[in-house]
Amino acid sequence: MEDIAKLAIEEALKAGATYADIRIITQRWERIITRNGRIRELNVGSSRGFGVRVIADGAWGFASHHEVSPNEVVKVARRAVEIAKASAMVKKEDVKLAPVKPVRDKYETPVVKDPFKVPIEEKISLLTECDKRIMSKGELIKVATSMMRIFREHKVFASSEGSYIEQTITWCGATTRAIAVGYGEVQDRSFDGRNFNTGGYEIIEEVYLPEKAEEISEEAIKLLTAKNCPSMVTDLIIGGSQLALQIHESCGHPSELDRVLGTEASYAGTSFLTPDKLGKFRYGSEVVNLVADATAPRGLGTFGYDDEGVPAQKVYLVKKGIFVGYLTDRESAAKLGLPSSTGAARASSWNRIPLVRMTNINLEPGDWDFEELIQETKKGLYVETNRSWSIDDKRLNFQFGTQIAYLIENGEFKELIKNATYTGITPEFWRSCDAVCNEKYWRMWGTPNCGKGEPGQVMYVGHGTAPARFRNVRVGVGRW
Amino acid sequence: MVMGKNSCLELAEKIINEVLKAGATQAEVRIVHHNSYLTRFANSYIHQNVGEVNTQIILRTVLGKRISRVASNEVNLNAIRELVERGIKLAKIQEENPEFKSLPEPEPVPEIEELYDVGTAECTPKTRAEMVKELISEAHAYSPKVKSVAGAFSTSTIEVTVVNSLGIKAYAKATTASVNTNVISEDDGVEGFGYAADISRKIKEIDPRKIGREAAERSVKSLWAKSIEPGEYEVILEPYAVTTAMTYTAMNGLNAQAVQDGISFMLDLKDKQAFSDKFTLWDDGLDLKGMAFPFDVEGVPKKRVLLIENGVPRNVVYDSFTAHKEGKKSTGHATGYGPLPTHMFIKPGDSSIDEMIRETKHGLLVTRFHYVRTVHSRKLVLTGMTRDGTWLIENGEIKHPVKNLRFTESMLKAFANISLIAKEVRRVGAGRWLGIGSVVAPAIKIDKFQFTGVTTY
Repeated sequence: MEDIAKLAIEEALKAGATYADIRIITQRWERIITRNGRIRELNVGSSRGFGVRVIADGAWGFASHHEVSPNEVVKVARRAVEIAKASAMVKKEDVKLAPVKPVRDKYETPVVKDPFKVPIEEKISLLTECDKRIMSKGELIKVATSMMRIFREHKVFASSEGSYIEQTITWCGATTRAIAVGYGEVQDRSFDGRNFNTGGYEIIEEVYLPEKAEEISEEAIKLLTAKNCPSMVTDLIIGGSQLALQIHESCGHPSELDRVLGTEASYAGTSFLTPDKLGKFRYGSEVVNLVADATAPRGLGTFGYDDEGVPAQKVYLVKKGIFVGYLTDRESAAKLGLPSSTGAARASSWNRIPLVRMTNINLEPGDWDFEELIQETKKGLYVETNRSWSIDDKRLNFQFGTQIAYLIENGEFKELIKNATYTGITPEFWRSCDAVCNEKYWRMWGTPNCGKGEPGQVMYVGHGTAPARFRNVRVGVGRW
Repeated sequence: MVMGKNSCLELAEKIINEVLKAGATQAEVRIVHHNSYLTRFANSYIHQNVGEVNTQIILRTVLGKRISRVASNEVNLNAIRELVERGIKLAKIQEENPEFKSLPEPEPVPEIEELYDVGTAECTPKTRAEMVKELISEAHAYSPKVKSVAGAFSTSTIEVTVVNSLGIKAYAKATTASVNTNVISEDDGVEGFGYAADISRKIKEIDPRKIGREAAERSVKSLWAKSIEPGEYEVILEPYAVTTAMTYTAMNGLNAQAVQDGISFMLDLKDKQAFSDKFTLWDDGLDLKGMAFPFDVEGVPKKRVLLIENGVPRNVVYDSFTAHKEGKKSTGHATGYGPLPTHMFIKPGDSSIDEMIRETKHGLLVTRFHYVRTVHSRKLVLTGMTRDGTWLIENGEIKHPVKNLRFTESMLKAFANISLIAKEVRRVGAGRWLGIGSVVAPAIKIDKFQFTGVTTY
């Protein structure tokens, strides 16, 4: 492999590149979906290829091919340089990169039980058991569906600056979902779209999914006749999984420095966290501490090095409520005059370039017990598990819908609520956060489907959260 | 570089023979080979410029009523042999699925030569850069207030081959040239935003200057947006916004999977006068006014399906699995992720945007929606933001641009309140289905539309 990498870099430099890197990647996956107790999809696949990224005439070029052979490597390296020279026809200044120390190293996700060695029959049996338990709750259940995803990526990164890094990342997770239909209503419940972590099959075995399946099935049926979410301004307690997506959308994406600098303007949008706010903007209340931590155990954004060979780091984005840091790649870090990249350049596969992506964006635990938090809430709404999510292109105005909610009155859970939605403006919302639960309630969730870029890239990222309370939030949006 | 019809079909048939020899009762192979190039620009320069060559082989192996799907992008004898073995092994370990009847039977697949354009297929990085340069220059030339231009220009060639053991032998190659741009303008520290996009099988039909000018004009006109109160407004949706609304309607309601799952509005409204009688919607993957493609991922030819007729929901689209469940034939709308209408058309009306504005007492002109999501599928409640140009209309005149608003509205109600449809249509790219899908959409006027929030720009 090192020979191929060396050949690509030499060829690119020969063709006029001033910088070159190559990533040679093999991805393997298993995706099993069951529906009403039967296999709906058994998708086992692999993808292999390489991508060569170069700077020539001060501009970027990238080319990739699925056939990893010396012949194609030479052609693709030359094509990358040709593309870079075309980019240089429409440039403003030469690309500059923040420095990184060249390394030779290896990294591997710690795995206790290799998920690819677990017999597929066992995996199918777990999922069909979930479906059966969901369906056992009666005829109002229209759909029971469960899913397992297992993913492994072996990647080699080599650069003209002398790095050679081999990494093997493994992640997996399983979810189960019930759809109930009746009384003129449709309600869905799942456990849990964010139940994904790096690691082996032990991740899946930690939670006995069929038990969760029964719980969510009963809840989906109850939700059919539950009260619609009232329209009001109230205190909102957000459960861990939903809070993971809240952080993803309202902190993770706006902290991506490439968005901030305008390079995603035509697609995903830009960001309200402009450089003039760095170090002084009050993003949230004193209890809000958000980190980008690529070293956190079990996160989907945990690795040894990013896809530019920058070591994994823990970086504060928001400290005691103040916005203090960005997710960067080497180019955006240099543009902002930062001494080095915060190590968040990630590519979804061999055929895509690294973009600034989330690693694990975590809300650090506070000091509240969950029970105490409920007891100390006079009137409010508890929401859990995402159903819908939407946020504007500067990441300010958001609206989320959740699968399940409960009214809280005088420190107790009261009525079950369906179709709950809440909305707000990002900094106002995070400034209203007055309580975060402690480590006992903190877990690492995963978002395996974060989209960004053109051509599109789907990346796997992590979010560690504990439930938290937000004061005076508008809930029950719209009349329908 | 294309693989060519003969070599694609030969490879596919070889795989089918191997898998049948290994014991499969039925089998289907799909080979997708593509060359894709994309030049991305922002802050008025090219900042990303990428290319990709890939071949994906997706094999469905059937053993009676047991099915597996395996995929690989390695095209050599060993890899193919391994793929076949894996397909058989995975099919064997399953329980039977009594809902599965058969892979689809062969039907004649039309050949559409116009899908492939040599100019697009042979477009060089230099030509893309030149076209991007033209777009950026034109946008800046529109006004000194234009601050930065972002977007993407892409060209691609795709070859799709589907062969199954029942006799399907479908092959097509198509090119796509597509451009989108977002222009940011600035005046005294205040920003304006504008968007424009175009898509075609033929690169020569794309006019980068026209797209740059359109987005720049919107951007400059959207400067000094004022904040308005959310609430109920009349709304004129430009074709970009209409496309997004139709795509979500299709995903939530206009496919057999949604009906069979109990989440589609069709279960409540089929054959009823649910919407304005001006609203007619159909899907036609063979109509060259859209981004036509002759067959779906199962090799079934695309059939025209009337989805909504004069405001009456009529039909949904099927793949072979959902069709067989109801004793029907696939309509040629398999995507690999359930059936979907991927080439929709809205019947044009007799109005123009100017006439719509004149007919509006208190309303909004919306260019585009952003980050739309489903809040409630069966009621077709969607939420999302406006983006890249929204204006307040009062007493038949555009008053001023407004800061972006959030809508939370049932499209079922919105479609019931369509009062005018434009006579001009625009082809807008939508989704990635065997290359690309599209919606051919006019602007539409809806008399009541709920906005539930505002943002700060």
